[in-house]
Amino acid sequence: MSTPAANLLLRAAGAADLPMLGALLPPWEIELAAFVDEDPDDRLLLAFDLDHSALRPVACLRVRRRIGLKLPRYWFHVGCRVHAAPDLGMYRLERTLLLGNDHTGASELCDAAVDADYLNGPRSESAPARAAATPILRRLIEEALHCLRQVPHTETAEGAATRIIAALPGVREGDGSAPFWQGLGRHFYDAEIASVRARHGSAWLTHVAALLPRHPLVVSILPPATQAAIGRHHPAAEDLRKALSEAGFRPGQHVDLYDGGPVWEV
Amino acid sequence: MSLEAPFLLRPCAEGDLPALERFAAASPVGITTLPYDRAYLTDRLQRSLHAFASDDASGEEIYLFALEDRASGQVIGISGIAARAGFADRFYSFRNEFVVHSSRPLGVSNRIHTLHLCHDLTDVSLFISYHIDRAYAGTLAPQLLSRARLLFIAQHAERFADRIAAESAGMADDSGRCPFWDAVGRRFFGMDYPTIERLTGGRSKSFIADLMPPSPIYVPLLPEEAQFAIGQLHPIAELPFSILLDEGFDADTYLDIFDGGPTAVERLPMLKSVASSRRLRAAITGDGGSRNGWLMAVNAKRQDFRALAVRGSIQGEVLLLDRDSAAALAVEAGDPVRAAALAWPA
Repeated sequence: MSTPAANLLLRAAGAADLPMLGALLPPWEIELAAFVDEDPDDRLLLAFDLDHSALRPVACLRVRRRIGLKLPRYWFHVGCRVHAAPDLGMYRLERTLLLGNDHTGASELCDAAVDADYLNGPRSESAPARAAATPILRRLIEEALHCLRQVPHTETAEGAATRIIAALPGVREGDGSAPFWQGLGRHFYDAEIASVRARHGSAWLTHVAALLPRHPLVVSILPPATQAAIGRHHPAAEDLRKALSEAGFRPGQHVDLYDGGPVWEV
Repeated sequence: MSLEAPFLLRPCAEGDLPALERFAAASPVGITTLPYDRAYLTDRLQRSLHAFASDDASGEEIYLFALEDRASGQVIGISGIAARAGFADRFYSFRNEFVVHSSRPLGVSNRIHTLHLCHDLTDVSLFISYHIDRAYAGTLAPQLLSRARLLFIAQHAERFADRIAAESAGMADDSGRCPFWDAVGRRFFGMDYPTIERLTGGRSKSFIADLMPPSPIYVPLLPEEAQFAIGQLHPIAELPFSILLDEGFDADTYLDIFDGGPTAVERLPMLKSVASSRRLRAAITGDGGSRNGWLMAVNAKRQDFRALAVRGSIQGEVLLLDRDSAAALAVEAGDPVRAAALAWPA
């Protein structure tokens, strides 16, 4: 494992950085980033490798201080239910999925991204080794945690104010589709997801949640590929998983509505 | 033998055990058809004999009827009534419900079909054990076999609920494979239906149902084959089901929890044969009264209950019967009877 870039600079994004984010975030997220200055509870942290470029960030991570208070946020809670008939020797443990707003009021780290060109290409003549994503993400995560802990919560009205969550991207097929969505959400909203995302930004899942089942779902009724995707992260998210783990995050009981990716907590 | 009254329905008697065995053996392998053996059938028959004979009724009774072709004297069909569905236990059904999920920002509104496990039909009276010799499918025999039960209930209303339900075998292939069970029950129990039947050793179905998840099933999540099987009939059930529909049963609300077949239900007074029936007095004429349409006539007795498909005629408050028909119906002049039109479904 290569050492973290020695000359790493972290700072919050400003409007001037927007044109430089193309390698890190999809267009609709950049559009959203344009408003970062207006919402004190939401900031985008950027990492610059000064040996690489002082203008072009090599990684980013968004921090949201209190989520779901304006627009409801949804997750599936992965629970379990036991059906037992001891005198028949029958014992079955069923996993269940229940739609809810359990992390409302928590803080969230999201939109973690590292520039792939930066990771793969030669950084500079002085540092020929390939950069590793984990240490950079680790630095961003620690900076984010520092930010969150520096400013104590003043409102304690609702929600899990001291909890910090981070979702790991879930598994995808070769064509980019999510097996979790294919076996579940698609039956309630059969639309081309990329365009829905582009149109509604990060609110898209809130809108989609209105179309999803309200009652607990028994996991065993879902197709095998969908079941297998519950709580599994995408192989490409391994760096992020490691960084979160090093920062003290652990897997919780919730998964993403779209790809079934796990939500980690600290 | 008179052609005025070709078919007679009566309570099953001790001697009907071979007929019960014959019909049980001929019924297809299916989800709702229990594997009958002689001990089980003997017990059912004894319970029925006791139910017809006893002046007390607790709700636990089952009443079994035998249908005779009077020309041959052969038993050509069996049917029955359980006084209270799920007596002393719960009777499980799936109830069809529809919820509308809508999102204004997405401009989408979806009607979602869900199945809710429920006990709604606990304690209603239940039609059971309908078996007809297929050679008689095109005659009035299957009509009398099903509908006469309604007039029996009407004559002895204190022994029954005022809502009647009837299960119909759901879709399954010749080997007993049932797409609805495969998609729903099998997922929860991890075994096929005959296996779980053996495991539970003839306990009530509600015992098995207790193991099922209580939350509703979202139909769009089921395989297409299972979605299609919801409310669909086993071919053997088509004839009796058509009679239920003609009577006015609602077959759109409830499903069998194992095979997904429709469970029809309706209030007794709403059903055609009951609503159109009349309480009359028997009168006996010589042979050859006026030839009116076919009637279903029943007497007012319990242990000696008789129902007859007969070409009688009604004059005022009187049902005119020829001597042979009156004897078959076990009535004498002046006895109370009840009669309703008997016809093939439209």
